[in-house]
Amino acid sequence: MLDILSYSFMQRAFAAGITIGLVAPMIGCFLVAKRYSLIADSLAHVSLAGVAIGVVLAVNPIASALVVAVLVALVIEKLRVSKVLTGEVALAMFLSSGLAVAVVLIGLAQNVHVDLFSFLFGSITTVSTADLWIILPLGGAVLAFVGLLYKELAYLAFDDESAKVGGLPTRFLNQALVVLAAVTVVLSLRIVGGLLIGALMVIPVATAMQIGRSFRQTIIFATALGLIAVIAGLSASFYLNTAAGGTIVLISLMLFAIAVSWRKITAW
Amino acid sequence: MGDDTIISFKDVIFSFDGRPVLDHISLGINRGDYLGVIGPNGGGKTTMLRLMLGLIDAQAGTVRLFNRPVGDFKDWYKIGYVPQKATSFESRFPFTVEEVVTLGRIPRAGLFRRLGETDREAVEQALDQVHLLPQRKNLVAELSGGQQQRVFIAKGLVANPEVLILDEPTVGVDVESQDEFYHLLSRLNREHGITLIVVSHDIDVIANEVNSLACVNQTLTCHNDPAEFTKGEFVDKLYGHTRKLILHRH
Repeated sequence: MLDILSYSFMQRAFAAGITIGLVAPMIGCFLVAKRYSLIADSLAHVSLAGVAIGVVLAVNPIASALVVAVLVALVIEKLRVSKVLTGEVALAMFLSSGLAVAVVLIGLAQNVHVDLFSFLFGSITTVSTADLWIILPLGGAVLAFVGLLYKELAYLAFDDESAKVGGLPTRFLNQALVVLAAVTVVLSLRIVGGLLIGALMVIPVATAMQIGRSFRQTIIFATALGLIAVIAGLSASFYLNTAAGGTIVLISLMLFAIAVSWRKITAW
Repeated sequence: MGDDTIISFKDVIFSFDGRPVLDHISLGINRGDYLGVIGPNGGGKTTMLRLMLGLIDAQAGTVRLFNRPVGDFKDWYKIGYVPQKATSFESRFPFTVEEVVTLGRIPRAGLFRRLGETDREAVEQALDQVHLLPQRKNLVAELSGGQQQRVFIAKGLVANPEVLILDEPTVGVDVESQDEFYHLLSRLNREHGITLIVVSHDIDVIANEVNSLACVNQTLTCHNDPAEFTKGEFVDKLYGHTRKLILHRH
């Protein structure tokens, strides 16, 4: 088992993977509670446009994806609040636009070889040290932010309006939440890729909801399940030579199936 | 309006999409009042509530809370809000009774500060007041309609507010629980001096419980004596048609 960790690319993959295994389901809990989990997929597609922009400008694609995803997240939130577009329509538009921009830009940047496929589905061999300098501190910042504002975010997740009446700065908190979602999505591009990050933010949460007996417990379970899926998924993909992103998501789904069965069995 | 006026509306106008909802509403709610807000659907009673809570802004006129314009009001822990149960939360996401009531302490605690022993005791007291202490670790989604309503009331009370504002509190609640609920409200008003504002479509019951009525249908008619209101012609005027009242006396 230890030979997997002797490869430096796997060490980097695990470092990045463990970070997102913790962060993705944690943010996912708040999004699912607010029935807003679709924003993850929209931001993922938008971040692919960010990657393409980075390629064209010859900067670190993760950095450019971060800037684009955060900006668009704030725009989506502004549209939602001002009711210019319904939440669903806004998300659908950004989802398809993001991918369209990415595909067109990559096509135009003819003299640069970029593997868009690796950003769509993840590619653990491409996690660089430079990427880790972005992923680890930002992942830590997301965790710290949630820790600091846990009770406020929980109130927001439970009932936005009551939170507002209670004097909480709900506009700021909602903006913060979508920015955290954008950051989480971009951090995950290398490991699970843009098309699968939504699954890592939702499936462990859905599983935790089967077994959690409180909001706090649900978050703890979701985070643990995300971590298990990433560690098991990375290890399995190494030994079985399968796509890491897909393997992680399939393991998440297996855990969900086990939780549902467990719940049905214990209900008898 | 005297020192005792804690919520006031002065010439408030509110329209939505060009359609007038509230027209020149003026009202003063005093400390210790038990006010029922009634009226037909679409008549503006929920709008009045949302103006009081600072969720929407009036196009004209002023709404004041504890003598401050609602836009400048900061002491939101003084206002306990019990929203309409049906629309207010994602019932499938696991939240325990204790967790929900604890959320009500956040306005007292403030941003970034962790909740402490005082908060935990307040949560226990609020749960005890609504007789839900044994169910504190239960999931809210697993409770009956009446029990869920009590959770929301406990959440509204836990920060020791001076005013409790309730929006259609008995929707989806069985009759027995409703009786218990009105007894609790009565106790809160009489024994603890909490000002109560209850929006309800259930005028038969509410007219029996409150000590003043605000009847809203774009404009406002106030009757300090609910018994006078129930004598008939005011109901017709408010609802625009003849309506028979059935009064339940406890």
